[in-house]
Amino acid sequence: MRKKLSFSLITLIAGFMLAIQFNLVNQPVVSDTRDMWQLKNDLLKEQQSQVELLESISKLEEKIASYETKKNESKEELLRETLSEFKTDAGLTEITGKGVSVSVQPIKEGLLLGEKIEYISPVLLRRLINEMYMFGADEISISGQRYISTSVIRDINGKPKVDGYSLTDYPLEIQALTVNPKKLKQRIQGSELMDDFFIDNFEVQITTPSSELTLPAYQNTINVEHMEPIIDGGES
Amino acid sequence: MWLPVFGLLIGITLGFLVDFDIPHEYSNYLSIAVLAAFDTLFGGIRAHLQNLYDEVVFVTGFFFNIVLAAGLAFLGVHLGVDLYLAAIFVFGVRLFQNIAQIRRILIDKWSISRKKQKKNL
Repeated sequence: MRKKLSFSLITLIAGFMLAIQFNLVNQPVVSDTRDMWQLKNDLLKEQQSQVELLESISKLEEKIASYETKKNESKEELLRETLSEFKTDAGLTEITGKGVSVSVQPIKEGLLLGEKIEYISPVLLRRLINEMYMFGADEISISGQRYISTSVIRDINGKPKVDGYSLTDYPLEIQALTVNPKKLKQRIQGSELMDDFFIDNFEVQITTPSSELTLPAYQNTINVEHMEPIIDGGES
Repeated sequence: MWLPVFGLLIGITLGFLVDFDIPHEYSNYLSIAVLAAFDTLFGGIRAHLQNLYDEVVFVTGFFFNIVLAAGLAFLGVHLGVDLYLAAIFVFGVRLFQNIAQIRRILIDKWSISRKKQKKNL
């Protein structure tokens, strides 16, 4: 009995293997029995799905493109903002705001006495500018010339000039923008400088216009000597 | 007598019903294994008819032959030599021999029983 059982088990396994092998060898070849119209329909379906896929691809690509442009724009915007900030700081843009107007002109009494009016001393003017900055002036212009960090006031052939522009016409208008014009005015008036101006036969009038002052942009080009732009290799 | 045949039928139906799929690359190994299995099976039948049947020899021979045949085919594939042909040849020859012996034994048995019947008559 046991013999038969084991023999049966072996035959069972052999039969199983035979059936699997038979299945493997006789895997039916699926023949394509579709006629032309069915094929055309199927082709149409596939084409439709292709079109849908292409549409979705193009949509996604558009999205990517819009993201890229946004990214670039935001970068450009940021750069522009920074550039304009720098320009404002450097004095290359027109600027308006509350401020003080200082006008310097020769004393009439001097004229009456027949004294020769000399040009204003660049040293005195420089001191005035420095004191105004000290007293809280933010931006200054002299006779319509913007005074920036690299501006110079000096004597050229006996004439006082700021950045090459003559300061020979009186009254000299020095305009300064500041947060608190009244305070600036008071401090300039209380300064010893007024006496020095008087010694040089100049009269100083300080007004705080109610309307906003407009300072012109710096007209010359700024020569940067100790900085170089990075060409290539800059991380952007 | 009928139990092994019944087992074979169950095995075949099971194999057809169960959706057991083997990768196509292994079909060679399976075919050789099937050949080995049938060789052993017929050898077992012959031994049974000759009263030489040993269960241990039969069962171990069954599995060992299958593994050996498949291993030989595997080795042949990797050596670039068609060793599975050797297995097919050996098993094929033995299969024929076994079946021939089974046939003779059955004929002998049949003729003996016929002679006995004639004597009785």
